[in-house]
Amino acid sequence: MKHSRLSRWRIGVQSGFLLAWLDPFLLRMHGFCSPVFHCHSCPLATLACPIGILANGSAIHTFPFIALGAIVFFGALFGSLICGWACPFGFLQDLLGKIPTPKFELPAWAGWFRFAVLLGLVAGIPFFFGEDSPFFFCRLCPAGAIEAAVPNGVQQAVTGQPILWPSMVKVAILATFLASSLFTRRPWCTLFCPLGAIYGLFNHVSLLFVRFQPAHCTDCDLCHKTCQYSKRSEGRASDPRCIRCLECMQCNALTIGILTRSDEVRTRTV
Amino acid sequence: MRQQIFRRLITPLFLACAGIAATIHGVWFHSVQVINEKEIEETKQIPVKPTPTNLLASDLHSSSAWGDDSSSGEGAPGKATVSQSEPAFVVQKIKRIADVPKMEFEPSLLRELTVGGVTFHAGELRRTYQGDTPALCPT
Repeated sequence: MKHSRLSRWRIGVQSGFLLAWLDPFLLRMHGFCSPVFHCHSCPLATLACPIGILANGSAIHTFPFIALGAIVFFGALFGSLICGWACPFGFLQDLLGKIPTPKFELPAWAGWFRFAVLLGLVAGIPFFFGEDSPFFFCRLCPAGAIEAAVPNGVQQAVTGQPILWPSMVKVAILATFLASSLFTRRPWCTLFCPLGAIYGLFNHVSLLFVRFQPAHCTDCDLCHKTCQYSKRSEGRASDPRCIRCLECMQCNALTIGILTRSDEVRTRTV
Repeated sequence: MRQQIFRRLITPLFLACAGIAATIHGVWFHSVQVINEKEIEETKQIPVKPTPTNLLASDLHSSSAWGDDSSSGEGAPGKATVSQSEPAFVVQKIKRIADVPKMEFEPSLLRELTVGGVTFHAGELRRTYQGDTPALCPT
C-alpha cells in the first residue's frame, strides 16, 4: 500500500467514518460513547463524545465506565490510528491543511500540553468547580462550537426559534484553530486534544503499530519527508504525538505490524 | 518466537478485555441515584368552621330560629344550629414539589449528561428539569 493509494484510502475512510458519526439512521445512541472527538450536542451525533462524558462524569463525581471502557478498548487495539483515520475534527483540520499555504512546525514539547488539558480542563476543574465553571472543557471546546453551536444556531434561525448564541469565547477559540489549521498541521490534535493524548499513550502497547524493517531501509529519508507531525517516522511506532496517518508507509522499510514488534526502530538515527 | 508473540499480544488484549469489561459493567451493573424533583398532587381534608349558612330555609323563616320560643312547639332550638348531616371537612388538592430518588443505569445517565440533565449538588445528583428532556446541552 503506497502513497497515492494510501492517501486516497485515508480520505475515503475518514469520509465514511464522518458519515457514520453523523447519525445517518437517526439512532441517537447517546447512552454509549464513540471512540472519537465528536460533540454529542451536534444535531446529528450518533454517539456521545467520550471526552464530554469524562468531563461531565468528573463534574458529577461519577466514574464513567462506558466512556473509559470505549477509550481503553479502541486505544488498546488501534492506538492513535483513531485520530488519523476516524476522527471528524481531525478530518476537518486535514482538509483545511490541504489549502496551499506556508506551513510551520510546532515544537515537539508542545504535545505535552495535551496532558495538561486532560488533567486540568477535563478532570480537575470539572471535579472541583463543576460544569458551571467558565473553564469547564465543553464550554471551550472548538469541536463543540463547530459541530453543535453553529448548526443548532442555524437550525434555530431557519425554524424561526429564538437563537441561543454560543459563547463568544468558544467561537473565538474555534476561529483561532480553523485559521491556524491553514498554517500548521492539525493544531488542535498536536497542542490540545485530550483524547489524542490518551490514545498517544496507547501507542506504546497497541495491537497495531508501525513496524520498521531496517533491512529494507536505503536511507532515502522519505519517511522524514512524508511525516507531517514530528519528523520521526521510523521511530514513531510508540511516539505519543503520532496520529498514525500512515503516510510514512510510502517507504518500503515501514509496514503495519500486529504480531511482532520491531525493536530495530531505536537503532536508527532520527 | 511464540513467546515473543505472546508477550506482544498479552498487553493489548488484556487492555481490550478490560475495556469490554468496563463497558459491560457500566451498561448492566453500574447505577447511581438521581434525585428527581416531581410535582405531586395531594388530596387533603381541611376542617371547616361551622357557619350558619347551612340552616334550613324553613328555619330561617320560623321565629324559633331566632330564639322566639313563644310560638314554638316542643323541641325547637333556641339559637341557630348547624346541621349535623353536613361534612365538617373540605377536600382540597394541593400541589407540592417533592424529591423522588431514582436509580439510573449508566447509559441512561450518559443520555442525561449529553443534555445537561443532571447536576451534582450538595453531595447528590439532581435532575435539572421537570417534564420534557432539554433538547440541547447548556454549554
